Parts: sequence; C-alpha cells; structure tokens
Amino acid sequence: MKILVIEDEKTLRENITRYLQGEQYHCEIAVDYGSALEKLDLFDYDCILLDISLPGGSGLELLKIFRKNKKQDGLIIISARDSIDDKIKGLNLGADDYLAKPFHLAELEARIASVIRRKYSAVGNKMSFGDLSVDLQAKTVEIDTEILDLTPTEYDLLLFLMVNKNRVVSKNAIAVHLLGDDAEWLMQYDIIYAHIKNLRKKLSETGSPVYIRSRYGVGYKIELR
Amino acid sequence: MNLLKRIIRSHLLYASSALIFSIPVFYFVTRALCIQDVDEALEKRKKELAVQLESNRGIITRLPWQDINDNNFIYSPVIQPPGEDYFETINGKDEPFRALHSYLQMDGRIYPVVLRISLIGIEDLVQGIVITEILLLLLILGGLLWINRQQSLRIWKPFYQALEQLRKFKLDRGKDLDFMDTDITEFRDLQKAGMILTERAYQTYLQQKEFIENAAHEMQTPLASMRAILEMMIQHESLGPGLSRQVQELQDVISRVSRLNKGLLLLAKIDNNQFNEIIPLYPAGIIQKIRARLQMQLDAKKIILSEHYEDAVLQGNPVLSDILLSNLLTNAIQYAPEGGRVIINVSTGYIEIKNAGEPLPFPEERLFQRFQKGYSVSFPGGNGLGLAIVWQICETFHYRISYQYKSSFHQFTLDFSSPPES
Repeated sequence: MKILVIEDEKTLRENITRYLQGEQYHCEIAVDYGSALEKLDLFDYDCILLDISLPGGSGLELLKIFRKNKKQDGLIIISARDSIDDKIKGLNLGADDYLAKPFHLAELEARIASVIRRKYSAVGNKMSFGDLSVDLQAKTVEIDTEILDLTPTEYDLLLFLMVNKNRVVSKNAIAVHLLGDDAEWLMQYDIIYAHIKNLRKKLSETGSPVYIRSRYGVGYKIELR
Repeated sequence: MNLLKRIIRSHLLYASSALIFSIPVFYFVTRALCIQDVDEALEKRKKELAVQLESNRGIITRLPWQDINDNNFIYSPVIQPPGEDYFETINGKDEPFRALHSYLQMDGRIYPVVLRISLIGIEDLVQGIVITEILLLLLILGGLLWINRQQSLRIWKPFYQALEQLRKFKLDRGKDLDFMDTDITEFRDLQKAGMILTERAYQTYLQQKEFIENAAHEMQTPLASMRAILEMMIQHESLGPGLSRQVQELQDVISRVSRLNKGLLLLAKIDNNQFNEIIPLYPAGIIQKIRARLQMQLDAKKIILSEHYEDAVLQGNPVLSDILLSNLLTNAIQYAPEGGRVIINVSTGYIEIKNAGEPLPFPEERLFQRFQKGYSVSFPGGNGLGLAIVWQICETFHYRISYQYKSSFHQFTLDFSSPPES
C-alpha cells in the first residue's frame, strides 16, 4: 500500500512515516505545495495524508485540483483547524476523512485502514488476526466460526488494537478513540482497564492465542501468545 | 418617536396653538368691528329722527310715544337732561339688541329717546365669517403638514436607507454596503463615515480570524509532533516502568494543553462573531445526541439520569448550541457524585440541567469566570473554561443563564425565550 504524507512539520512527518512503515505501508513524502502537486500529478497512491497549511499554498487548493483531475485515491486531511466549518469544507471538496491535530498515530492508522477498506470494498470487509476473524459490515468477531459475544465498546476496542497490531497503543489514544477529543478527559483510565479485562476474559475462554498485553500501564498491545 | 414624527409634531404643536389662540381673537375683533358699525348707524338714525320730529310736530302730542318704526322709543319730556349719550348691548329674551340712550330737544323740552338695532343678523354674520376663516386655516395647515411630510420623507430617504444598510451589515461578509446617491452634504458624510467604520470593522475581523487560525496551527502542530514522538517512544521494549509512567503523564499534559488551546480559541472566535448562522434548533434532539456521546461516562459513574423533553424550539447557531448544551451536561456529570442524580428538563423557552452535589467551594458569582474550577475527584482534567464558554455563548445570543443551589442540587437554567435576531 502506498501512502503520500504531505506535511511541512519535519518531526511530525518523520514520526508518521516511521509509525506507518512498520506495517504493510510504503510512505512517500511531500514537504510543500509545489512538490505535493508534482507527486500527485505523477503517481497514484492508496491513501494521501494532506495538511492544509502548507508553504507555497493551501492544501484545500491542492485537494480541489486533485479531485478535478478525477483522481480517486483515498485522502485524509490532517489539519490544526478544528472547526466544524473547516471539516465540512474539506469533506465537501472530496476528502474521505478529516483528522484534527494533535491526533494519535494509532488513530491515524485506524482512519487510513478504514479509508483503504472503503476503497477496496470487495476485499475490505474482513479482517483477521491470529484465529480472530472480523466481519466489518456485520460488526461481529468470529473464532472458528463461533461468534464472540462483545459489547459495542469492546468491539471498537478490539478493532482499534487489531488495526494497530504489533504496536503499543497508548491508553490516551484509546480514550480519544472511544470518546472523541473533547470528552476524553472525562474518562478514567481504569474504565479502559475494565473493558480490556473483560475482553481478555472473553478471548481466553475461547482458548484463542490472541492476547492483549499491558505495557507498564502506559498502553496495550495485541499479540499472539 | 422617529425623526419625522418629531419634526411634524413641533410644527403641528405650533400651528394648532396658533389656531386655538387666533379663533377667539378673530371672533372678538370681527364682532367689535360690526358693533362699531351698528353704533354709527344708531347715531345716524338719531339725527334722522330729530329731522323727522322737526317736520312732524304733531307726533309729540301723542305721548308717551312708542314706536316710530318698531325700534325707536321717545319718552315723556323730563326737566333735567339725562346726561351723556351711551350705548348698551341688551341680551333680550329672543334676540340681542344694541341700544343708544340719548335725548332730543324740541321747544325747550327734553325728550329721552332709546334707539335700538337687532344684533341677530350681526351675530350670524360674525359666526359665518369665523367658521369660514377656521376652515380656511385648517385647510392651509393640513396642506402644509402634508407637503412637509412628503418632502421630509423624500429628503430623509438616503438617511433611512443608510441606517438600514448599517443595520444589516454582517461582519463576516463585509463590503456589501450600497448607499443611495444624495446631494445633501450631511448624508454624504454619514455614508462615508459608515463606509470607513464598517471597512475597519471588517479588516479587524479578518485579522482576528487569521490570527486565530494561525494560533491554532502554531500550537496544535507542535503538540501533534509531541504526541507522535511519545507514541513512537512507547514502542521501545527497553522503556521501563518508570519512564513509561512519565510518558503517560506527558500524554495527559499534551491532552490538557491541546484542550485548553481549543477552548481559548473557541472563546476568541465567539468574541470575534465568527458564528453568524442562526437557525431554529430542537434542543431535545441535540441533548439526546450529546447524552449518547457521554453514555460511557454516565455508565462509569453510575449516574441516575432523569429526563423530560418537550418540543421546544431554540433560535441559535448549530455549532455553538451543541457546545453550550454539551458543556452544561458535561459539567453536571463531572461534578455529580458517584451514583448521583442528574436531571435534564427541556421545556418551551427554557432548559434546566441539575446535578446532585456539595455546595460550591467558591463564591457563586465566580462560577462563570474563566479558569474557575471546582473540585472533582473523578475527573480532575477540566480546565475551567467550560462554563466560561457557556457564559460567552449566552452573552452572544442573548440567552439568560442562571445558577442556583437548591436542596443539594446545582441547578443551571438556560432561558432562550428572547431569541437573537437572525
């Protein structure tokens, strides 16, 4: 999968690429309006991450040109502007998603996965990890054709960890993912722990090798025993 | 009272007092002139009578002599002359008269005479003249007022048009003022001043808007970098428990700074009037959506929620109304005790949100101030901006927000019955 990261802030850009490259993604970068325009013109990508405030021009302008050329690549706006108006404007111009800074890399990964799934909808309705098989349309999880009985929160949580498999997902990222940026502070981390505990119990009862490991209380990682 | 009415009112006041004053003056002057005329006629008749007597002495023998021609009386001779002649107005039973008391001398005898003329014709004449005069005056007055009003309307039209333009001026659109042509200097000055003022306001608005956008970008982007770095750090197996905890703390700090930044920028945006759209909204629906978003927190704190909804309509901005109600509800959940009650009551014209809890640890009047925080064991992450934002939104849209502490409940009442102008 090819990803283009259009972002002028060096630290953020580098960390995004490093985080994504660990998995099946291959990342290319563009640091300003001009180079982004060139790359968008020459190549096709599975997903594009687009910052709005770029040196040399507006990301929204770039998006307009891009969609006018009938390019169908998945595109996520990553912007510091957080108002509803900006979001609506971006989505109306043809962005697939809008993620406000500061976001978590784990959340970014989940959004990219979702955009790509939608793009390749024929193959994108199933996701698996170990002996777990997730039907994204029906929102069910199966182990050996047996449906795992999960609450909606547990399902969200499991999916979020699976998308970020082999990486530690911070509790902070989980809270934002489950509750949104504005309500995340109303979440006590022990509630997340309670959900994780239930999830672990349900998984171990089936004898699955899938295990959710805690990392010194900072986050969780889904792995195979 | 508007300008035109004011001007016409003073004209009308002057004209009607002049009219009221002139009617009696006119009446008396006309009447006096007529009486003077009658008096002259009486004098003349007296002279004629003397001539008549001289030529027809026989009449005297038939005294007391009544009427020569109905209105002239000659009485029996007296020794002493009765004094100076005088005129008198007699208001008789049927008709008023003007009478001349005098005497005539003949053959050394003095005969008192009274000559009179009926005033009934005179009164009618005077009344006729006065009524005609009043009608004429009224006609002139009404005409003048009407012409005055029409002219004023025409002359003042650019003024009213400019006023309307200024009233309709919307900050976020700018430059759409269109004044009508006028050759009156004062109005031109007014239009020019209006142009300059609105242009300046628009420029300030744009600058402020740009500043807010830049501030958002400059703050949130480094925070995004920091978050990303921390997420990369926790991937390292070598990170021990101590460092992990510190990374966790740093992440929480980043969340707080980011939220604080968003809150302050939102306040700045509201201050800068960047939320202009006003539409009818249904608070019951908005609150139910917010409640769904907060379901996890409600569950976590085992909050007992009582809800009552009526089909109220609120005139407001969709974005800000959501934030307003969300902040109130979040506040209630935040400060309600574990297993405590939260009550939502949506009625026509007002919304009540109550939560159980201990009394405020600070004076009530500081409740809506920025950075004023209560003490929340379960959710210490608040930044004290939630209610300040509520206050600011209410100020902007002319809602009334009030707080009271009653029977162990914190009660917020949002009164939106006097809606903002769209």
